[in-house]
Parts: sequence; structure tokens; C-alpha cells
Amino acid sequence: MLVVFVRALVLYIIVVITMRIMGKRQIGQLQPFELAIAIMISELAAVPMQNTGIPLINGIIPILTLLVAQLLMSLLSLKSMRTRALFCGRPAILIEKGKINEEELRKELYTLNDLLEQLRIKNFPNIEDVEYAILETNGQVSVIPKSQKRPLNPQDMSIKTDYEGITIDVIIDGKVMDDNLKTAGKDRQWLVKELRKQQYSSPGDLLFACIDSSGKLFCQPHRTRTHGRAVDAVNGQPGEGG
Amino acid sequence: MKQHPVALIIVLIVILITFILGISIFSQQLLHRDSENLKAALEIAVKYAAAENWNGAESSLGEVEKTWTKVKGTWSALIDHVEIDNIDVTLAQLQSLIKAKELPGSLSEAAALKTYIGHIPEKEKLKLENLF
Repeated sequence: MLVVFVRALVLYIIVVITMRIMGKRQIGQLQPFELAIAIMISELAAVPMQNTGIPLINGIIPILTLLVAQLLMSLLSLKSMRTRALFCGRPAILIEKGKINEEELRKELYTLNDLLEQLRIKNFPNIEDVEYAILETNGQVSVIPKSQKRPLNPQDMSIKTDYEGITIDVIIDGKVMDDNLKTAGKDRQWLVKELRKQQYSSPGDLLFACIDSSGKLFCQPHRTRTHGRAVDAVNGQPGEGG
Repeated sequence: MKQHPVALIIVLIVILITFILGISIFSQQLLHRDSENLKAALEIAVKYAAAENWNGAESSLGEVEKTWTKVKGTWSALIDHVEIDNIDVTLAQLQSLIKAKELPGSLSEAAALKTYIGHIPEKEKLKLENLF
């Protein structure tokens, strides 16, 4: 039993490291060759995990070999358009200029029901509203609506908008994210000052805090501490709850 | 200096290929060497048994067992454990047949043991018949 336990752990660590090296796409939207490798790796890890008669190396070497093959294929796809087309295929235009492309549907073995389903998922219940629908190489359908049917945006109304960047997390579960704080161009002193302004005594009181693009700090205290703080606030002792 | 990711990937691929090829070649050579040693020791025991020198056969088989005990651990990490069990069982049978001074049984078990030991490095060789 202990042998199976250790073998499972070793193989799990190797598979996790392999998937991490293979890149983020491996856990999200897969290309055909990536899907094949993911399926094979799971099988290669499962067999020696259960069967203690098979040496562990017989599972590890094929996993590493697939890692090398995948890295090579990704590298070749990165460098050459032809290889990319060969390994990943090309996107297929299923709806072109508002017209369904029957030939492409047939070529991709994609039924009209599949197409309509995908359009509904993308919030286009009426096929008339679609200018282009493209079946991407990872199997997803991208939809470009007709210009009259696309959502209205501030530019259409000539409305000026302020810059909106990304919000940066600075406290997660009471811990200060120093790197993120640095990215936001702030330091701990600033953070403590801001927390005091919002009547919190230390970062430990907070579940989450983030800085928005205008530099404003949003804070969400721990649930138990919120209660404490509310009580303290009522008693006129803000920021000392815990 | 920060290295380019492509260069890093190429370095990683080279390291992995070297590791895989290194392990494969090393294990093949190790299996071949150990198997030759075992077969040579077994051959001596067979010669003694064929001449019905049972004491000589027994002590030679003791040498085979010693060598086998030494290599068994490494082999377990490289080959199917069923193969290891086969060798263990055949060796035990051969030992008891030699103790019982049974000539035909000893010779046939020795031949079986030799085949078990000999076919392992053959199975690991990069040959068409092993690929398909």
C-alpha cells in the first residue's frame, strides 16, 4: 500500500511539473496535438501508479518524452506558419458576411445545430445578427456581430471616458502582497496610512484589499472582524476589533 | 541577464533528451553486462551438473545467487517485476534440483534460467521486433 502511495505521489508531482512546463494552454483550450498529449500523459501516469509490477521509470520516461515532443511541436509552431497550420489546423469561417458557409460546415463536420447552439451560448439567438462566425483551431466559435447589432459603446455616443486600468490586489487573507504594492507604485507606509484612514489597525484585519486605477484602496475585512469593527464603531473605538 | 524563453526551451529540450538517452543507454549496457555475468556463472554450474559434480554445481550456483542478489535491486528499477519473479522462482527450483542431484531436471531448469536472464537485455534493445 505504501508503495502505491509513494508511486502515486511521485507520478503526480511529475505530471504537474510536466503540465506546468507545457504552458498555460495545456489546462485551458487545447490544440489537437496538445489534447492528444494530455490524454496520453494521464494514461501513462495511471498505469504504473496502480501496477507496482511496472518500474516507475517506465512511466516517467514516456511522460518526459511526450514533454520533449510537445515542446518541440510548440517551438516549431511558434517559428513556422506551415507547421502551425499542420499541427493546429486553420480557423474555418462558418458564417461569412452574414451567410452560412455550407462547404466549411461540411468540411469541419459541424452541424447547423452545433453552430446555432454555439451562437446561442455567445448570446446571439438570431443568426441574422451575425456577420462572421469563425471556428477557431481550439474548437471555440468566435462571433462578430453586424455593426447595427453590436452593443453600444461610449465612442458611438462620443462620450469621453476616464482611463481604467487593472485593479491590483495588495492584501489577500491578511497578507500584504509586497510585489503587487510595488507594481502599484506604493509602499507599506502608504498602505498603513490608508488603512488607518479607513479605521483598520493592521493588514491582518482584512480579508482582501485592492488598489484601482485611480489609486483608491478598496478594503473588505474578515467576517468576524467586521462584526468586531461594527461593534467597536458603535462603541466609539474604531479599528480595534478582532 | 534574462534569457529568451525560446532559448530556455531549447536548453530544456536538450537536457531532457540527453537525460532520456543517457538513462536508456546506461540501463541497456547495465542489463547486458549483468546478464552476461550471470550467464557465465550459470554456465559453470551447468558444466559441473553435467559432469555430475553436485558439490561443484551447488557452490557455483551459490555464486550465481550472490551475483543475482547484487543486481536484483537495480534490475527492479528498470524491468517488469514479473521478470524478476520468474528468475527468482527458476533459481530456487534449480537449487533444489541440484541438491536432489537430478540431472535432467537441473539441466532443463538451468536452460530456462539462462533464457530468462538472456532475453531481458534483448527485450530492451532498440530493434524493429521490439518496437512493434
